[in-house]
Amino acid sequence: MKWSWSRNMSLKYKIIILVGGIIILLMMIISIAFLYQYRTTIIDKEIDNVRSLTDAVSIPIIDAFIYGEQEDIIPQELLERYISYLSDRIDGIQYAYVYDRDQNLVTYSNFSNTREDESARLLDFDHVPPGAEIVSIFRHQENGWVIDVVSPIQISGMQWGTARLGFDGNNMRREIGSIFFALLALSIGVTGSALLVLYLSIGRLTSSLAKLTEAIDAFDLMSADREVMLPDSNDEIGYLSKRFELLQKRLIESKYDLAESQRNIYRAEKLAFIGRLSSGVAHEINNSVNGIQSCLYAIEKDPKNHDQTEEYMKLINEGLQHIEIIVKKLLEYSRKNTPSLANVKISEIVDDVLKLCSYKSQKRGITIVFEPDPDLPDIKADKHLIQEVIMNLLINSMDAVSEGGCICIKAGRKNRRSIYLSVEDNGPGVAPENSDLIFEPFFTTKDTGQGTGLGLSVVQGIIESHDGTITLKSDPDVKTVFTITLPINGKHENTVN
Amino acid sequence: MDKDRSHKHPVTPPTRRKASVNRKNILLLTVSGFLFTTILITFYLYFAVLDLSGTYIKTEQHSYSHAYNQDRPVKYIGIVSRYPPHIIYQGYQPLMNYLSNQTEYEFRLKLSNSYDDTLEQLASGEIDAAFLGSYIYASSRHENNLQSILKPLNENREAYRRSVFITRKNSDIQGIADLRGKKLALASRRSLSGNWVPLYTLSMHNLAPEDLAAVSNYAHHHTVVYKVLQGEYDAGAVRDRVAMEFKESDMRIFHSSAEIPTSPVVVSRSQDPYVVDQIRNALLNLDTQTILTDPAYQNWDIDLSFGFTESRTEDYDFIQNIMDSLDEMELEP
Repeated sequence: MKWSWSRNMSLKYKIIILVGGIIILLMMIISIAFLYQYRTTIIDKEIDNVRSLTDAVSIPIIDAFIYGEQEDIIPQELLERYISYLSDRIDGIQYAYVYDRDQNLVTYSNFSNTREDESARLLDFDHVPPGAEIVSIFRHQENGWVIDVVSPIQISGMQWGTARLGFDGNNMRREIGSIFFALLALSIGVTGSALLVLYLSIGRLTSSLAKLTEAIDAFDLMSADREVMLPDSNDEIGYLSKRFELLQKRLIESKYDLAESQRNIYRAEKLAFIGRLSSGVAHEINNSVNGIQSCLYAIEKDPKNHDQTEEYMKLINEGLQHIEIIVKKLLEYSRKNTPSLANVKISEIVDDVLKLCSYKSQKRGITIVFEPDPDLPDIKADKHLIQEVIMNLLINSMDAVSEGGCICIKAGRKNRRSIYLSVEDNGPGVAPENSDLIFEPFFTTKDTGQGTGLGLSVVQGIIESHDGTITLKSDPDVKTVFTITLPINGKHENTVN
Repeated sequence: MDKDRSHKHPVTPPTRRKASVNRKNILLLTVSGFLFTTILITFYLYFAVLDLSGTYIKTEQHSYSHAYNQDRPVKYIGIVSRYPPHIIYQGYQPLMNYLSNQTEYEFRLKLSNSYDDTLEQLASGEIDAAFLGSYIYASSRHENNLQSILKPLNENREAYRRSVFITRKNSDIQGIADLRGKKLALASRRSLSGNWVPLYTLSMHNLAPEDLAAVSNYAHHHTVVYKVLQGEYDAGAVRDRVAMEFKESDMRIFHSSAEIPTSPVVVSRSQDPYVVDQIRNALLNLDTQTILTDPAYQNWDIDLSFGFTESRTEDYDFIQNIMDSLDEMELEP
């Protein structure tokens, strides 16, 4: 999965990285701007100094040239004395070269005691136009940084020659270096302090959020009456806490409302169920009782008619048997007996049931297919109850399909802990409005006297007693599937050895 | 029970734990990358800032610069170098630039150590014109066959100056007669307005140098002012323009002389009239506004910056009279 920075990074680090990044960037920009401003100022100041010094040094040189003109002499000796004087009196001058207006070297002096000879610094006058002033800085291998000034010896355009002076630039560079480290230390200090303050501030903010999150996590409707501690502040977090408190109250009120509604529904449903159960019992028993009453009335009217009596007694017996069956099934439904679990093979149970039903299916031309999964495991269940379940589902399907219909039984492993068994038929199916009623006692879509309406109720009871489930999926006129699931290891402890 | 326990002791699912580790790694990588980049930038910046190599100033030749121009004939203007040569050049080289621009000649200064040298150079033709002091011109014009062609104007467009007597503001000296028994500072002995006119003025008030406590000469007019302000002398005599420079100080003028013609531009009478005309016309047409604003004429000498007017030989006869009077009083210039 692609890692998304904005999605996965915590709010605290997002803010610290973004704001911290901006602070660092701003500090860098400001520091660099200051640094270059200082650098420019220092260089300009130093260049102004050396230019002023050069101007001052140039004055005696000019006078020497003028004296030379007055006396018609070469001012070399005068200049040499003067340059020598400079080396004694002015610190920082590393060399001095003086050229006349015909670009001849008049005198020079190298004060830095390097091994260089004068030819190394001879001016290339192709690049120095008359009257031009050039100030440049370069690094000398032995003396370090040098400010080189080439200045015309002139007054108001009257030029006598050119002077080239070299000044020590190392102090200037050291000063710039000091400014660099001072600004660096300042930047680190300010940025570090800003990040620390930011970290602590964001820590407080996110701790409030964490408290709120913990409070939300800890909130449980089952124990909603317990007081939950929320961050108390007047900022956005406090506002969020107050909204959460209101939500909490609404949820608690809703919980009580829901419980009340559930109780009402349960009461209404129970009354409806009792009504439906009563009418079903009454209907089924009344039919038999009415028949028995009619028979007894006929026997009472003509007691000597032995043939009639014998016939009616038989009918009375059938009616009583029907009542007995009803009562027995009601008892089975309500008894909720604990199943006796033992290892059973579903395939064998299905085979036994199919044998029992084979006569009826063959008679009606119904095809029954059983497709067990080869890996179908044994399960712990009550064999007789499961047999009854399968029998009921099969009979239900056989009753549903018309002659020549088809029933398909499938069984297999659903997952690691349970198996499934489905009974599918191509009968008319169950109307959607009846889907919820089909597992209720005495609900039947069969003709009167064809069924008790208790089969699927009993099936549901048995499956639930095994901690299983039963579902119906019906596509009317296409297929109807009942699917049960049962745990492989069962639920109950009282397994039968 | 289990449900409650799960609330109190939530177990972090493996996927969440993995995401948390992943997040920490990404965070660590981000911070490390950022720090690494910052350190790289810092190093780069350090070397970039401390690399000072380069050319910082390269000015081209000024438009008014004058290298030797071999194509044009060179004319020399002589001047006595009373100050260090570069100071003379600062004041007069702009005027040479102006003449070179306005004429077909290349003008250059020729400094000399004395008036005598300048007079000699004029006579020999070594120089073509000269700025001479009024007294020198007046005293040597006949002997050296000299002709004054121009005289500079002052700030009031007048071609004369005055010699003024100064004293401190709190001094009790009110007039020349009060100088008796006082100490007087004068300028150079060869200065007309700083020495001869003051001496002449004293004589007009029946005062001889001996009537004063002390009379001393100093090379420069400014020195005289300083000596008076410092209290070394009770009074002094200087050129009026110099006195005006100190009008805001603790000094006052208590006497002004008659008008003295300003120092002339002088040529030899044997000089080529064409050259003389070139010089005369150029300086008569001098636009004083131009020399104040044009950088080519920066530092133009203040005494020559208000323009020129034509000069006649008889303008300086007055000075000759002063000289004669002083000579009679045995105060030989």
